[in-house]
Amino acid sequence: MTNDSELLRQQARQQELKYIKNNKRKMMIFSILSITALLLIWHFVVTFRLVNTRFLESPVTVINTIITKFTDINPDGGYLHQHIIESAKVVWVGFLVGSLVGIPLGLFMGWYRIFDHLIRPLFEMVRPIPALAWIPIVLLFLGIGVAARSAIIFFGSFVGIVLNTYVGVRQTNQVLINVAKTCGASNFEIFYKIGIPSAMPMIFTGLKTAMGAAWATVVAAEMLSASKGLGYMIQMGRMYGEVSLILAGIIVIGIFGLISSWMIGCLEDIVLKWRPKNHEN
Amino acid sequence: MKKILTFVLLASVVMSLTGCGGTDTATDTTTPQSGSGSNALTKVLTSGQNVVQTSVPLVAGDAMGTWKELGLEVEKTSYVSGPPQLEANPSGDWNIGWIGATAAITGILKYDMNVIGLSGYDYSNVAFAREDSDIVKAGDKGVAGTLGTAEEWRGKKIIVGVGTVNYADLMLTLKELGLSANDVTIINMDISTGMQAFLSGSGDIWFGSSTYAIQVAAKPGYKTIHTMQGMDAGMAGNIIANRDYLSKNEDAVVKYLEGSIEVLLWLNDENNANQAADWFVQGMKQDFGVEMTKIDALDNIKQTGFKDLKFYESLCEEGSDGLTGLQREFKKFYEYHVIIGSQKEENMQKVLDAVDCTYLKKAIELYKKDHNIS
Repeated sequence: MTNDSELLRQQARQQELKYIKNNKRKMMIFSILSITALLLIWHFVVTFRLVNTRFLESPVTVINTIITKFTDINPDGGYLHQHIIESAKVVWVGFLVGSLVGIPLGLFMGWYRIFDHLIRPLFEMVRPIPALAWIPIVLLFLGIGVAARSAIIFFGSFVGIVLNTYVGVRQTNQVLINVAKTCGASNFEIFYKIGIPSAMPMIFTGLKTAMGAAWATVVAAEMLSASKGLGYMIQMGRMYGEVSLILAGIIVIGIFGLISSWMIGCLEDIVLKWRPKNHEN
Repeated sequence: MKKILTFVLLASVVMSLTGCGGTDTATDTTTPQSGSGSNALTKVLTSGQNVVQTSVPLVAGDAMGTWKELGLEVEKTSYVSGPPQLEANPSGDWNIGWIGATAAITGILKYDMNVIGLSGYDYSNVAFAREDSDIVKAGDKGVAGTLGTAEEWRGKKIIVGVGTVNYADLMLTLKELGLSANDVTIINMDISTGMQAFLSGSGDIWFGSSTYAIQVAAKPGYKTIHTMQGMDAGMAGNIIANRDYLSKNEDAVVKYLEGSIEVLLWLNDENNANQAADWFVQGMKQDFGVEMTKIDALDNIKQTGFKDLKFYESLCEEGSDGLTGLQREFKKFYEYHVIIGSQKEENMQKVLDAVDCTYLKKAIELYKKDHNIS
């Protein structure tokens, strides 16, 4: 009897895993189809001149530019892989510093009322300031190197991390808190063992949002000063009126933004492996 | 139901894109008239930048009422550099622009523009280093207009606006020194931000011009290490317009150029330098929020080479090489850009074909007739 039920359980588990795998594959196909559809619409629009095509190159031209840029330094003086590395460096440094500052800040603001009342007014003042507005200040204090550009990325990404972390910890299930209190746990123990794990899903949501914001801010950061980088390459495309170069930079930023978000998603799967996976019935 | 909704959404996206228009000419380029009746002024939208040769003629022409007398109502927009100025043209922000040579070339190759005239020649392009720099200590080593040698310049961080005349100046300088862009670190910043960064300690060398260069020169601790004038490589401001606009508004363009010649000849007269300096100060304050002293403005005016009527007449004369004077001058500018690698030799003919002095010729004839000059 026990063997039968064990066997049934195993079979059910295998079926479930098979279903999840098929579902993932199906979702991946839908994602690829949507990008393909966008490229086809773009190509269709340019080919049949449905919009002003003087300043819109076809996707074929743009993809060709991307491929060519790996071996051609003109007109901006750098290869595409050099630009990618430079931008990735700036983005990840700014993002990591934003995470290191933003996550603890959000956790403490969300859990300890005194901390919240102390920090919130300052945070609310900083929140609406766009990353670009920090450029003159950053220029004076940090100069024009990687630190300065990463600081702009930091300002662009840390707000989202703080907000999501704050909401995540505030949404901690009160029942769990009460049970912990009943078991004699201190406030700090409850914060550490219940509050932080409860907030992790929202923290990762904040990290993914912040990563998108970081890549979106890299063009502004490299406007400050740069000799390499995808934002710099886009600026150079603008200087020389090379629309395909501008679009190539935009698409590559999009691709690396996607890769970066995927990397955070993988980390999330590892850290939150205890979380039940939702799937369609 | 979901599939139908998805299809409807997709179709409406495609249809709305269709509604954005399918022609290459985004705006109506026929010049509007303002006022009514036979005295109606023809409106011309013009644009300039923040250097003498592309700013002062516009301020002066407005202040003296030059274009109004010719039946034109000229409205001016100012831009901090050539690229944003060019970007604003397709949407109709301006019809006739005053612009640097580097951006004029981009205008020809990417924005369907023609060069129809020249302004003054800018000799204010300079480079600065801090006085403790090894370049300053090396002194004049025989490289035209430049201190130091390749050894001192190699590896330096140079702040400059890429795609501008300052950048062309830098590249020519590196070529004179026997260096290339790979031998230095070029940091792209627009002229005002670059100046601030340099003054706050960033970079080793800054390439600038005009009022910004004068501000840096006035500060202790900074030395001029290069002048474009020393290389005898001054580039003129250019007057450009979209080809479609030119073909539909010949009368307005010729009158505009007639007014421009009048203003440029006025600026060529040394006796008017003081007034020109006043107008430069006024223009920089109003359009760019930049405060400058009259002395600095006067220095700038003196560093700009405005020309006489004979020069403008020579621009319209065809030489033995089959090129007009205007084409020959612009060819020089283009050759600088080929030398420094930012343009290709194979586009030379396309560029020269877009340098058109027919309007200028008519404008000069009109000017001479109106001023009883034979």
